[in-house]
Amino acid sequence: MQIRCQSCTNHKDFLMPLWVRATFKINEDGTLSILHTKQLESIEEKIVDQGKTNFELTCQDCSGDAKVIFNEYAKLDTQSNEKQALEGL
Amino acid sequence: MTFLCAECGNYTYFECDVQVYRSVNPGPEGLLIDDVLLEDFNYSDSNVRDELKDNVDYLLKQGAEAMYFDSYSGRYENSLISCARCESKRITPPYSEWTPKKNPKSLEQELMDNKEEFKQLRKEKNYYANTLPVLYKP
Repeated sequence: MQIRCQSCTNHKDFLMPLWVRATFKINEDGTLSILHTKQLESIEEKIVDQGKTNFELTCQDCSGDAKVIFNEYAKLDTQSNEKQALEGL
Repeated sequence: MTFLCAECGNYTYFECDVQVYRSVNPGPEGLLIDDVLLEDFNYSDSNVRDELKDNVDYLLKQGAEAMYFDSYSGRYENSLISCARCESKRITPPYSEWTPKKNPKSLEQELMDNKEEFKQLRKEKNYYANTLPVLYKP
């Protein structure tokens, strides 16, 4: 699997926003203490949906939309199959 | 007491939904999900804290006005913070905390006291209308 930024050449660092439920305590002096965070969304589902229903995976360098390529060898497989078919003929 | 749950009387533990940014790094072994680390600065951590504080401050400022009528439950609820004990959304700042602000002097008196300082400020201010027009030089 590859992830590429559609605006720049970055293919390493990306950002994904996720909703979490924070349980917190209000101290007597008015400050907040976070006790627990619970993830509300699945990061895998969001990555799979990237480009279909959302564009939330963004490049960390330029904030451009990222493109997820699940099988980068698919094209190579097709090319080698075509080559083998031609050789067979 | 900052907030009070109208269901169970809890005023200490609450829950709030916030958005956190995670770093996604594709590698040969799969995706590496981690906190967003900038130069000596954890963006994910500060994002959670800042957003939580924003929500708490907003609810404190708005008070009962932040609550909306939920037709399903037939009650007034708020959409930001819920009770960590009973999961109720009937969270408000206690009404008893609201008091009219007692200022030491009236606004008119304050303006009069600061009159000289304001005059000085007006003298220091740059008025573009007082400068002559300049010919355009390409």
